[in-house]
Amino acid sequence: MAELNILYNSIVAGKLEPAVEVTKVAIDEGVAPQLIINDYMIKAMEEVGQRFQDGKAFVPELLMAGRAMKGALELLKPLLKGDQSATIGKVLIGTVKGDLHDIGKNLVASMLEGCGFDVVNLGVDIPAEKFILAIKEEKPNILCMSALLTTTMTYMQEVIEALEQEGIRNQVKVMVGGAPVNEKFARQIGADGYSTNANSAVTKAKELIGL
Amino acid sequence: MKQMTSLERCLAVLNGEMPDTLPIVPQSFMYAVETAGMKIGQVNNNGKRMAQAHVISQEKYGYDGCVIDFDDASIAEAIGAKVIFREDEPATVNEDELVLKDLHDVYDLELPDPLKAGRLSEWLEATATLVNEIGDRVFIMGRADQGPFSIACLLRGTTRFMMDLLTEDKQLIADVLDYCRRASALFAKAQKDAGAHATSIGDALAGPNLISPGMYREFALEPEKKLIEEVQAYGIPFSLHICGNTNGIIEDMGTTGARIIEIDWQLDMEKARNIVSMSTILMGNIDPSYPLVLGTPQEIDTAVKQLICATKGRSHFLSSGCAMGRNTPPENFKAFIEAGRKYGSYEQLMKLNSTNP
Repeated sequence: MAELNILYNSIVAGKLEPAVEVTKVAIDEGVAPQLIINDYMIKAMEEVGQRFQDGKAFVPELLMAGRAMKGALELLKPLLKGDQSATIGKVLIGTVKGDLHDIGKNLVASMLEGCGFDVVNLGVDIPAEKFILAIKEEKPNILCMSALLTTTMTYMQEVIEALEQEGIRNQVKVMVGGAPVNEKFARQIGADGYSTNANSAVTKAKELIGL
Repeated sequence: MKQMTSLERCLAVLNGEMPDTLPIVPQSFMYAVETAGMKIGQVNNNGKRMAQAHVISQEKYGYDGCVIDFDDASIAEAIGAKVIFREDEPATVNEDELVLKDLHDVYDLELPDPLKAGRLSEWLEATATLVNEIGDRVFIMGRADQGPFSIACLLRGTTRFMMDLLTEDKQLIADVLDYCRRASALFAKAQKDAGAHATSIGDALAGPNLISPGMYREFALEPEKKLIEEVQAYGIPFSLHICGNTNGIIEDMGTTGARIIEIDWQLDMEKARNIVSMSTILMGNIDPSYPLVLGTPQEIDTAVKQLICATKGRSHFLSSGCAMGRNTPPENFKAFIEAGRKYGSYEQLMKLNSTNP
């Protein structure tokens, strides 16, 4: 019997090898992938996220947990193909044009993925056209934008305006974040949500899609 | 009180004396470049032009200290990192192409010569030019780019180094950080040789926005301490910049012995002033985003007033919490300086210090 508690503990402790090993055993034994994800992986990432928000875990711990989670998820993904219920929603995420910061954005992506979202990470320095193209192709529920500079945060507004001009603003919820951004600014530029950290980003994302 | 020059004002505070008005030392290199009608991409390989930008901006606004900064990439570049240059934003290390593919590679690295390697000589040229032009009356802080922990992140890739901290041999990590400390010390000392009145490093990646206070103490604090001791013994005051929410490490930062500590906006300045020894100047801490870029002059006036009330002007350089954006509205920057003069005047400081002991 696969001891799936080991999976939970390994992700929380950020240990890749045991996480992968126990997942392999579980798959061989025919445990439903969705059960592994929902009852162990997501719960583990929720715990890590909570610790992060409470100041008990920091970026190194979050990165290690994310790595362990991804290792297990890569094994499970092929088994989920075509199963729409496998994810709770789709997120498109990127750092806006002119800005090359990626650590915070990647943490948010990792937490969202670990908590059940299908995440498409576009990377950094993303212009509005690229966001629009990706929205049309990927049809995400949520667009997440990140900016770490006072000069690039204003570009998030340009993206939102571009979405409006393209007539696709109402197809996605828009979330923004990054050091210079605050709630008031998020409202001013017409975003639907803002969060201060990777964990509350998950809470906000779920709220925006009605979970 | 007789009127002081900007330089005298800053030195008075450094000497523990009362200034004629609270010194204003904004972290405004990007704003200065904008004010001078230049672009960062045109000046970050030309120290003389960078100095010119500061001269123009300082003359226009009349603040007391110039913080010379180019970007966060220059020491790493001088060691061998690949750098992405852009017209409008400071240069950045390309962390996809690592200098330290393996941490052991550190044993093969040579120390960068500040007079020859990369663009370090341009930083020094900026310092020397600025000191030559206005250094008789204005305080010139020649930053020495990044501190040990941040250099290590840039050489190894920040994400990788963060995970190394949990997985790699502690002695190996200590050796990497020691190499980075030595590189940092060379450049910081060269800033004194170039004539700077103070020098500083940014070690933002060691802050609690990334690693825990425990890890800061385990990995980043000792190299910082050693660096600061060595550079200050060389005869130049040192300023330690760690931005972000440093509440968890402010007490430790105070133990480094740095003459100046730069405080970002998430900190309560009154608390910080009580925690850190009065012999250490606190420099800060108006939020560069809100109110400096997004707020109104009135909101800036209020924020500066509250800030000066919080420290009572004791061992305080009025500044932004971190580097100001080039898109700070000029009327906001003017409001910042004006509020500093209004609430930081000798009379106001005397009043603050007499009513509440």
